[in-house]
Amino acid sequence: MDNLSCLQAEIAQLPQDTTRLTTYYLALGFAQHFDDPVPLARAYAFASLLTGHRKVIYTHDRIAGSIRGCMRGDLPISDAALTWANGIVTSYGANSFLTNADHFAPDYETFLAEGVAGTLARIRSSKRQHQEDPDAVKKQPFLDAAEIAMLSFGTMVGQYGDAAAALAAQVSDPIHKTHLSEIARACRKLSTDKPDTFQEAIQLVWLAHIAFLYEGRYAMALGRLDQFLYPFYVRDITRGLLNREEALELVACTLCKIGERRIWGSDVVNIAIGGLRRDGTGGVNALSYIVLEAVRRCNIPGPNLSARLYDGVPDAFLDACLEVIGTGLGYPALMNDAVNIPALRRHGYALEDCRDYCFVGCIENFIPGKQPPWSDGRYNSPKYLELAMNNGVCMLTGVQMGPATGDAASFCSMADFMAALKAQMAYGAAEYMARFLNENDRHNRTRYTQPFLSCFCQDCIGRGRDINDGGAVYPSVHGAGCMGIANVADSLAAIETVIFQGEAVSLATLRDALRANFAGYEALRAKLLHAPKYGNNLDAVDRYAVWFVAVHDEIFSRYRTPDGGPIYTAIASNVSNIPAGKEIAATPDGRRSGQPVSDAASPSHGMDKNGPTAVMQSLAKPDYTRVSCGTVLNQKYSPALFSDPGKRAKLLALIKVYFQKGGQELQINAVSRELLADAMDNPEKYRDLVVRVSGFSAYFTQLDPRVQMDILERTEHG
Amino acid sequence: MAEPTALISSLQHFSVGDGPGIRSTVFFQGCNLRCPWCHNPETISLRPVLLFDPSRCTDCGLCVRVCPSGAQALREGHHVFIRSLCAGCGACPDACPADALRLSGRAMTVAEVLAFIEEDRDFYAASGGGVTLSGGEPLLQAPFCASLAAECHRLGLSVILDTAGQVPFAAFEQVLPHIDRFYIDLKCGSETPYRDLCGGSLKQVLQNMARLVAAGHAVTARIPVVPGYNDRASDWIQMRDALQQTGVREVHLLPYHRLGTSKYTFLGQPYGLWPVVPPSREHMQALRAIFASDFDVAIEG
Repeated sequence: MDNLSCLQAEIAQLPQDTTRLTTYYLALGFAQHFDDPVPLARAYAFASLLTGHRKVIYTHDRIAGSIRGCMRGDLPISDAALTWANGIVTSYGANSFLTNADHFAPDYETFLAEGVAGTLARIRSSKRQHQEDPDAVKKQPFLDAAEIAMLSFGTMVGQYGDAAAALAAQVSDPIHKTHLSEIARACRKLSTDKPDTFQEAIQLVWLAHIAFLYEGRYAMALGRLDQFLYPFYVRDITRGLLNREEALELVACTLCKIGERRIWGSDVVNIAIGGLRRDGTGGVNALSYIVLEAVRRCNIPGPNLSARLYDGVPDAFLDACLEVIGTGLGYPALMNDAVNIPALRRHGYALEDCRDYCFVGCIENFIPGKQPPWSDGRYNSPKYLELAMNNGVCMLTGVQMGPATGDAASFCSMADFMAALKAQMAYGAAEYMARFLNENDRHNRTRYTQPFLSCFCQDCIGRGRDINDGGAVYPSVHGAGCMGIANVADSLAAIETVIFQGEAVSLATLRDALRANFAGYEALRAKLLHAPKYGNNLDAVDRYAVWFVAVHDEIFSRYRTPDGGPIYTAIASNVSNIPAGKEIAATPDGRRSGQPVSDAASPSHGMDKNGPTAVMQSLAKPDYTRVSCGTVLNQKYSPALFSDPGKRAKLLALIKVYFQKGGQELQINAVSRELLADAMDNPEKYRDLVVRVSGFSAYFTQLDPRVQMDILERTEHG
Repeated sequence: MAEPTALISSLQHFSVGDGPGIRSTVFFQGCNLRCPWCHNPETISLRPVLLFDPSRCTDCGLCVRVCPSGAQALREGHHVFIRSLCAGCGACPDACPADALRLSGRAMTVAEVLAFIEEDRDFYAASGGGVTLSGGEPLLQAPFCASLAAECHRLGLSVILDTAGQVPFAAFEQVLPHIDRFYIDLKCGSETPYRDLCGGSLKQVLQNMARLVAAGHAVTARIPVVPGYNDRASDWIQMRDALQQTGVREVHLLPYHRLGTSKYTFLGQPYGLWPVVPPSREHMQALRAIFASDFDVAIEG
């Protein structure tokens, strides 16, 4: 077994008692500082957590830092002690998504340049600079807290070094001894000094990430790993201190530990590779390929790897991405710089910063270390169709939820109906924003100071302000996840073709049909289902998708976050499309009441009948530079398409054309054996699963079981 | 005079097994052979045929209301399709809300087919792809193939014609100037089994291949590998020898698959080849070796 496999086996061996001790260590810190101001008490609690937890080192590891030190294992800490600790921590209030604690990409570039000591020096200098400020009474405790947090981080890093040294003394295998001693040396150095080698750099980044995880943060991105580590890589290669395989092992040993976090529930650690650099030149480098290969070798569900493609990106890079996707991992997700950079630029960020974007969570665009943590919500767009059809009254509850925009019988043209719809949407956006701002008030973020996180965001230290209190270079943003683009586009096209261009049916009849969930209106429903559908490259319907994207941007552009930042739109079901569908009555596209709304930017299930090129052409029609958060298009392909370079070249061409036409994002899944087996067992879940073999496409669930087995067999050998 | 039309079974974008690059494939309706392993059985009939998927049917009866010939009926609340009454008019698929009905064989003009083809021009350009005319037997509608291929050439698109070759050479002559490569099936290595299995004359196929090669046209022989039907060692030697006579240099081996079997159900026809299991990868490699010394061989699919 190679070293990585041995490490993964070690990681898989969990202690019997995995109870999380986070609150216990935090409470110990709080308990010694009850009399201190809250920001300081929080910093001491954080320090207690970082320095108090056990430092677990794996025998086969090359990069220290594991969340396992937060599991109870055989430690004599009673349940009663945890109950006591929970009481204290709850009283101070816990950080969460709602207090702007996570979905963030730290400024690791600066941290690598300064190290712990450099950051501390900057904090102290800022303290001196701001001591006479009128609001010094607020800034000084914040900077004190930052200092306490950073000092404790340094201590923690040193402790990992000591733990590695202790383990090195115990092991007999000379290779392990060497590796562990290297970890010990690196960590002891990094407890104060800045990194000089590739190993030291990745070690420092990983321990910072681990510190965030100990705090209980979620969706902390590693960001542009291949960019900020690259200078260290090049220097070590030039000096002969490192070779590619060695670097690959260090990266793999790091990334495979991302999987550990899953013991506490899912996490999304986004890594962006490739993409333009700040100066506009192409950023694909040797490390981009190394990260890809490391992720493939780890073969775990996570990190969320994202590959940024740009005009002139090497074909070899895209091909390498496709090869990894073809293993069934489902990533990297492919991202289009030509759309995302202008999408960010329109909010006035510096061009260099826009080019430096990465992602937090799944696909959300983020400028690393310059924005406060991300927040988003679900805006249920197809609901406004229902309200526009029914004079503002919810068909499910009879409640007047929107303005009275007129009885369906009063609309004489498509334009009349669209005006009513837009009025309902604008009203819905007003309600959405009011709720968002109220929620914001309720979770007063300035009370939850984030001293450690603030050290990773420009210019919190310089300004002496917390990341959520004006410290960040750019204000906070909020993402409105606009649901059901396909339902809305299909519904509008159906209304136009069946009602306003057809003759037999009135809009009032359609409304009645929707209220009745089509009971007694099956013939009308069949007509609606046969109207043009989004995803087939038909302008008659795609123009409503264009409208959808433009109108959401227009409506949400009127609003700002509390600190003056923009509201982005997302054409992505960050929050599932299934609960969204439960809130909506039948829609004019033929969807029945309560059925899921369409997924992200994808066409409605089974409605794309002309293959992936047609889907992509439909998808590329809206102006996605107005969708600053991001889009998701999910596509599934047979693994046979990834099996050799000749076939991958066809996929490569497909993706390039999609991006040239203005597509924003593409997530490809190679249909795995597991998925096919699941589809055989649960055909109702996979009605639209198309398998393509040798140019022949068929719905998988319609095939004879013997044929399904044939495909399964091919997949195994693929 | 009305514009000439062809009977088209279906049009497909992003075909990746019908030649180089990303292609759009035009499946012509109608075939003059009856190969038992056919994976596109709906294209065989010279008249439009209706495919009906009973598993999707919801017994709603909407098709009954639009059917002019009484082929769609409801009996005790359950839908029945009486194929013998169906005229293939194509009214019912548009009425069906459940996607249970599809018509194979619609009359289309060159302009209509071309409009579909043109949608994906950027994808052909980026991938070195183009258009493939397939079927069914496209050359049963040779004049239409010629017009369509000429229009494709006018747009700078490459055209492959995928044929069983069971037509008079005159049919080829009509399309010759506008076809960049011919894919011609070689289903057997000798006359008798070809006649018995597929219902045609192998001699005609081989002669067509030879004449095309002699006239300087690019020809690829495509061999469906169907275990128990054409994959005995003697079959392979015969096929190889026969091909050598024609001058064809490029061979594609296509492993038999059963992906088209659901369509037999939709057509209400029995599928006779269930006992046949797709050839293993190892078997395909062994066959490849037989051809490799004399031909450029690729295993497709």
